[in-house]
Amino acid sequence: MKKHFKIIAILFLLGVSQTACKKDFLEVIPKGEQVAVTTADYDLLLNSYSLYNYLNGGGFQEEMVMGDDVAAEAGLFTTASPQPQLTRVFQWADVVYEPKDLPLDLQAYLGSMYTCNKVINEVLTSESGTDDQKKSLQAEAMADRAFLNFILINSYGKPYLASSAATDPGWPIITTANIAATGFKRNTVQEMYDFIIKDLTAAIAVLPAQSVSPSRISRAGAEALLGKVYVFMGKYSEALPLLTAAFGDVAAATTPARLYDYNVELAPGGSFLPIGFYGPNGPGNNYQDFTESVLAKIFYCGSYNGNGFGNDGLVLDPKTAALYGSSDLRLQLYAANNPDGSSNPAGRLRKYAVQYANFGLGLSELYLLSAECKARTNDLAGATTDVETLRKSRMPAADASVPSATAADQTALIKFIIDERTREFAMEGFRWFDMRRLSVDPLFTGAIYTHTLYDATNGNTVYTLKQPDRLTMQLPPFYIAANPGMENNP
Amino acid sequence: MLLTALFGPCRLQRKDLTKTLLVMRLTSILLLATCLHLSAKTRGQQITLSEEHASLGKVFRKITGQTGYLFVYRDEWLRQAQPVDINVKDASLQQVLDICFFGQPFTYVIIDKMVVLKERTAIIRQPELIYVDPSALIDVHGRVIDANGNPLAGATVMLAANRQDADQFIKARTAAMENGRRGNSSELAPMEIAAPQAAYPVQAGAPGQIVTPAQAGAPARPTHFVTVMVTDANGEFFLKGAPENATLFISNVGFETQELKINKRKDITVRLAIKVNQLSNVEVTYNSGYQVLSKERATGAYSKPDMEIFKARSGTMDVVSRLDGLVPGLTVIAGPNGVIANRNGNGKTTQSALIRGKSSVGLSTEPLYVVNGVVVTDYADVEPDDIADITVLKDAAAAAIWGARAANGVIVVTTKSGKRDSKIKVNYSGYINFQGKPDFGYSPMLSSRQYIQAARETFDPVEYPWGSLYNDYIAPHDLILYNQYRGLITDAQANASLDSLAGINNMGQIKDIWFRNALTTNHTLSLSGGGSVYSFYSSLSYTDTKSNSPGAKNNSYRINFTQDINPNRNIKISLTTALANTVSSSENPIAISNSFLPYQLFKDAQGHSISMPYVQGWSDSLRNDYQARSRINLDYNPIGEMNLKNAHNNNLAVNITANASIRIWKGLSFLGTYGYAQSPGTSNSYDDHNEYSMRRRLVGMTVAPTTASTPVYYLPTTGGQYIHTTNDQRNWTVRNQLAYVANPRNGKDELSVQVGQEAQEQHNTREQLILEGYDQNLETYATLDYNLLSQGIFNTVSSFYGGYYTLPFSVTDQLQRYDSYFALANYTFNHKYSIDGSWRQDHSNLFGHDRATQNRPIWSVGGKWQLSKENFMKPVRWVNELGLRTTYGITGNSPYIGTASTKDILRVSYSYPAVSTGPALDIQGNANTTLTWETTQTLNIGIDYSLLKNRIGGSIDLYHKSTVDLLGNVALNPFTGVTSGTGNIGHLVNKGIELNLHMVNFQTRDFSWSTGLRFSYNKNKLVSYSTPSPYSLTASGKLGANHWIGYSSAPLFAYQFAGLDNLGDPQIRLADKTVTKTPNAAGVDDVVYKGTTIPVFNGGFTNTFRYKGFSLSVNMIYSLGNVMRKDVNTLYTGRLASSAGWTGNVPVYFADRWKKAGDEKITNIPSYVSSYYVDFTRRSTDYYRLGDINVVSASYIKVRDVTLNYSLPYKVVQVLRIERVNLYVQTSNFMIWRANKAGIDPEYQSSGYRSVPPSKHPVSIGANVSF
Repeated sequence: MKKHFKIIAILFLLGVSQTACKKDFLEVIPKGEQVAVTTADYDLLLNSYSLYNYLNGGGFQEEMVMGDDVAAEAGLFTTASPQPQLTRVFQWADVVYEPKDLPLDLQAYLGSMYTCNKVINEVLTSESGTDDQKKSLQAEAMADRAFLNFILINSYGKPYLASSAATDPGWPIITTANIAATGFKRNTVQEMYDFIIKDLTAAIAVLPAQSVSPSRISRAGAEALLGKVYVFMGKYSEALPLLTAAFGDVAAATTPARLYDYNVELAPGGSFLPIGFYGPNGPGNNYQDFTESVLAKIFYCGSYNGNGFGNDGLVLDPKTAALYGSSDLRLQLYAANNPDGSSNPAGRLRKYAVQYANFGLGLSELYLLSAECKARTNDLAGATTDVETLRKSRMPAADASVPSATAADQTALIKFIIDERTREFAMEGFRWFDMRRLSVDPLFTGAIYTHTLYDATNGNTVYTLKQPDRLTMQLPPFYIAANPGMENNP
Repeated sequence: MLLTALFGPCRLQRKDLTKTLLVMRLTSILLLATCLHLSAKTRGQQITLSEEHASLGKVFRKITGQTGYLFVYRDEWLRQAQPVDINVKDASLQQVLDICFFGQPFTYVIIDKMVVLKERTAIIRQPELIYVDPSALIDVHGRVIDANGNPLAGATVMLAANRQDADQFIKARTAAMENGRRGNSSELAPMEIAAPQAAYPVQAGAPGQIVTPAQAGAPARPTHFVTVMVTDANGEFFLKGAPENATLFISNVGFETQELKINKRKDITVRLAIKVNQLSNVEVTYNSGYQVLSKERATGAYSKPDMEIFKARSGTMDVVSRLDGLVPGLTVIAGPNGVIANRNGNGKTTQSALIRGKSSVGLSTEPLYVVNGVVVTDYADVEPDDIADITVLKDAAAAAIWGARAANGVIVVTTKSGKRDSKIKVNYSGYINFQGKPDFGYSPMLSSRQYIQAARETFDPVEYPWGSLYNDYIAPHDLILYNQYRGLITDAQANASLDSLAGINNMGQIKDIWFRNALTTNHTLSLSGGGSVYSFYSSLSYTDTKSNSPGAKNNSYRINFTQDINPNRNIKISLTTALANTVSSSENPIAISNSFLPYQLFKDAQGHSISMPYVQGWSDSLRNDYQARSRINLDYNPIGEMNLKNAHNNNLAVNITANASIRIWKGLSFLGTYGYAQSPGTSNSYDDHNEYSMRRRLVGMTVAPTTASTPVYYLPTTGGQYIHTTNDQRNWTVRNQLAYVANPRNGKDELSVQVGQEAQEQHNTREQLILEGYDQNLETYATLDYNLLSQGIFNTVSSFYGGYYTLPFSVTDQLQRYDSYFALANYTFNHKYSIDGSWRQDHSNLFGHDRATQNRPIWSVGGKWQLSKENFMKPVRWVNELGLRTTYGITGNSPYIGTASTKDILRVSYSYPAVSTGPALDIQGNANTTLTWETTQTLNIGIDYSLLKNRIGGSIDLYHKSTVDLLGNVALNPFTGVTSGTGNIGHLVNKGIELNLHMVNFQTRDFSWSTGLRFSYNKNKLVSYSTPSPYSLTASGKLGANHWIGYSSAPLFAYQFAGLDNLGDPQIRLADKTVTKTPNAAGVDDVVYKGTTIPVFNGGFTNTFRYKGFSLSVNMIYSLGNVMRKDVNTLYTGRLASSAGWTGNVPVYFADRWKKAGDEKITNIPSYVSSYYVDFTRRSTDYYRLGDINVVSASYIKVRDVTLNYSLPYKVVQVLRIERVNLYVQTSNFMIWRANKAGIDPEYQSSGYRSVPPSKHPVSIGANVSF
């Protein structure tokens, strides 16, 4: 009897311990989660909406408020959100962020940077993809990284000036995806631009002409971006061939980007109709409308929604409003009313039909960049054609032509093209970048930028941009504090 | 206990007695002999023995070895036997046997060369001693019961001529015992127990018969007599021919001895009162979940609650809440701050507990819960009535055996099991607990009149132009003011309307319509019993919880069945099967309190319910437009909504635990613990399309540009939303151990060793199905184009972009596995010195985690010295017990799944917003390669004491807990793309003292008063913290910090408030003594430490008074030394009522704010400034809100509960043919002292906000009945 138990017990003990000690007992991959192993995993990672869709905050929030194309209505603006940062950005205050603040824009960019670096560093050793697929994904991530760096250097570095770029503090070049990394140092503006150019040049060489979607960067997108980078460096002749190449690649796409012709879309039966509470039903109200996109990057540009700044109380600055011809159909995106529909007593315009702005690269910008490069390199006819191509899709053909006097005068034409940029992208943040680069452009020096807070009760307040310091934002204190010794902008 | 003792010259020949008994018992002995265990060997007669704490069987073997006497007994008797302490030299057999059998539940007779053990039911008498008139002899039948009417088996019944005889007997007996133990065999001589001489011939007679002197033919002379017997399994005894005036002395371990004159009574029931000093703290054994340790041998810091108080706390069914104040070192976080939801999402909650302070900053600080040896994730299902024992393991030696999850301590629960060899017992207990309605007066808000005045004072149509509120909430009073401002109504009209609002108070309606009296009813019926091989305990319980919320139902049904099987002496199996089913449902009442607009009624004078669409936040014009375009009614009538939504939950919990013990060889046995628990739950909710939020959602998914256009609905317009959720938690544990027990050095020492392996799995799954347009009768639903809907519908009625992102089906699946090896050993030297040690290695399946970093064994060592057993302590008679113990060891705390990984963890992005290019992966968790398990080193020094005949007893513990590699949220360099992550961040130290004291202050037969005191002191300090985030190095970061280097956990910092300035703006004093109101002026050193929010001292204080059948128990708890923020005004800027929902009112403090220059002399409450921007840039109201003037002491003492218990007299109970009846009434929650003057109950204060207790003073009425 006793023996019997002994044997049973020992066998049982052995049996149980055998099964429980199996090696794979602890090797469990939880459901719904995985680590990147195959090339396809990296492909899906680049599909992540966080790389192109900044709907929950981030994008061009700060730029939207800092452009001199906006003004604000007291009452609506100051009460819209209890966010002092919004007001400070509007006032171009030296210090916008408090020590605790983590600006959404910056967080979003750096979060995307992590993903890009991960793909760049890891995809070549991933499993079961072809070399071409791996290199293409790597190139895509490099182009995306260049896009992010281009925004960062244009927010936190001085405008590019060849003479001082090598010493102007820029932004740290980040090439690893490592949360434990510390001791970041700001590279110079020149180093940053060199790095951006290096990334884009490498990407262009590898990227296929066709991309899955405009939300995934294609060769055309990388070319256009590099062209834009050169424009921002004042290297127009180097930009032009890239922009031309981009046009070619766009045209060759299976579904080429095309300009919406507002004359058609806003005419009876047009796709922008009916005009609802939020205006015409165009891409500004549909973040998935990539018709004009060469490289789609969307940010939320509507009213304050708890994240980001929102555009509550922002109106088109009357000086900018004056740039539009009365027949310009882009005015249809504006309404001279308050958010509740009641009319604005002063008739100032609110851009209500662009709840989502595309801060990537659209075909319209490609035309404008091309036009500018041509004008700068004295191809005035080419420049005029390009700008008119855009204008014809934005207003009746009769009003689309560039006045002949302007078309014949290089400086006037450049200024006209810059104004056209303002008209095309007003209140979407583009103007701020242009203000910066034009501040070092001899053609535009001496410009004074102001913001007006319209207040019918207490009188208007005008804020003037303090140049050159405030053309560059200060790094948020949180970022400086994390890296002792890092110098901030004045 | 001695059976027979003699006084005076009379002696009995051993031979004769033997003969008598031989006649009586021989047949039965012979019959038994076939199945009895015999052991034999022959040697000499004189016995020399020295044993401490030896097993009786072992002593028998030694006696047999020395004398050749055989022992005849049943095996199970020996298992019930007490260990023996003996030290004799050349003693006689009977001397030795008397010592061995002292206190044993059985006795012996010597038949020839056999010592035959027998049950103690027969009377062993000394007939020669009694000289009484035969006519004065009566037969007495008696029964001994406890206070609850339970029969007391094995109680000693002593029949004596008088008390002197009894005392003399006991004294002599005790002295003999002591001498025997100490080996002073010579001192045994005066007792002469061993060699009685017969003075008279003895006649054989039936047992129990008292032989008179006449019968014996002896000369009549006065003498003394003592006859001792014990009660049988039914607590009964029978005395045949007892002197009618003799006295009975009835005693039993743990009970007060009762003296009773027979007084010619033939039927006697004796009720023994429990010894008061045994009432609290009957700490005999500790169950660590791995082994049961005697208190003497336990080196670790273990504590047990007073289970009497635990059982009586019927105010809650939550096991943790019932432990409040009962265990030193265990802090139960009372009130809403401490409610924690079960992690598997089945909606069950329990109260949070903390053992010896917070030893982690980032991980859970909840103890590990173990039921019947198995780690449980859902202890809400344990029925408190079924709990037999709770042991709280506090230090490393106690808890380390539980490994990497035991750093927060372990609470080991053992459920009841049946007693062997007991008759079937039925027990009923039930109670009703009345909680009533919340007392909103606790958190006073502005009255309607004050509110309207505040509305007038704060109205600012310039700062908040009518046009800016197109999409905002406009309360009725605001609408009147705007209408007046916009000239739509006259001033007189406006004033009249506002005045009428000021005259309405809706509190009555709120309490009547939205609250009901909460009530909990519980009934538990249990049945237990057992035979020699099988015993069981089963219970059936029903709990009906009626919450404050109208329409809600919650019924729990629990079944517990525990079986113990002992098929033979080698195998022991116990099997616990528990089933719990909770069925609950709810309707759709609004969640409202007194913070809603005070004037809005819900029913008009005619009793009709009122529509109040504004509450939902859309202005009238907007709503009318949406309504016209969508053609969907947008009225909102909260009473009408009651039945439009319902939810039903059904949770089942099945728990099976088997514990097996198989003896393999001598002291070696195999122990197995196998637990399986599964708790499937389903919940179904239905939200009708007519319900407001459903209508509103539909408006957002309807395209209708104008009122003329036919609306296109993108979601169903009929049926409703049906959500079906199933959740399941499946846990299993398999533990196999080999245990070896030995008594080296001839039984002087004790050794036990265990080694084992354990595998555990906790698998948590949840699936949810959401259907739209569901028809409850037809069970049909709409098929949706999920892709289209998630891409978004542009320009819907209420939004430029309407999206439906709901996933029709979603799953969560979480698996946690552990594979562990462990060993533990105890060695006790000479029954005085114990050492023990444990070791454990855990590995878990933490995803992506490098297993090498888990190779951190958990271990402990400990020692105990039983000082009171030393000879030099013997003279110190007032010390009954004194033990010193110390332990050191390491326990761990493992991170949750996903917190640590060597690679980036990716997760599929769900469809919001739809990814235009198809499926995508997102980085869910960033690679974090450097993490290791958090480890806690604990040093514990303790003293166990028992003094003054055990009237005072308890323990003292000192500990030092040092936690390194704290896992927590660490600030990362923001340039990495991640601003914070999990890291091993620092070093935290907890030090403390715990006291446990119980005292019997006063004790007579009818009245007693006893006191229990639990005290704990904890000092906690964060020694280092690796990378403070830049934000945390600012004043506001410090004010919000949960930990700060150099300070205790949960520190509270405050600004040094320096009064208001002439604009009513708060000012502070900085470290350099300057006074400022500039926002952000304060640096990190300008805020001052005010204390910790965790109690520094806490514990319980219990007083129990008993008078006859009544007992009154008063349990106080105290929590001292911590601080809290006072609740203050909440409105400094913005609109008075600015957000939709059941809010809008503000605390009364608003009325006392700064209003005009000069007010700064009389108030500290800052002014109201309508503009957010001005408020933000001109000043910081945090200077006031988080100022030191608003930090108060959170110390308090509360009577947690008072229970009056009445046991029906036995006579009454007997008439009813019931064993016992207990009735009690309990009420709870009486604040008796608080340090703050603001009337704050710290249990209901969190981050400067008051929450209203759900009940003021709950009252329970209950009964316990045994059949």
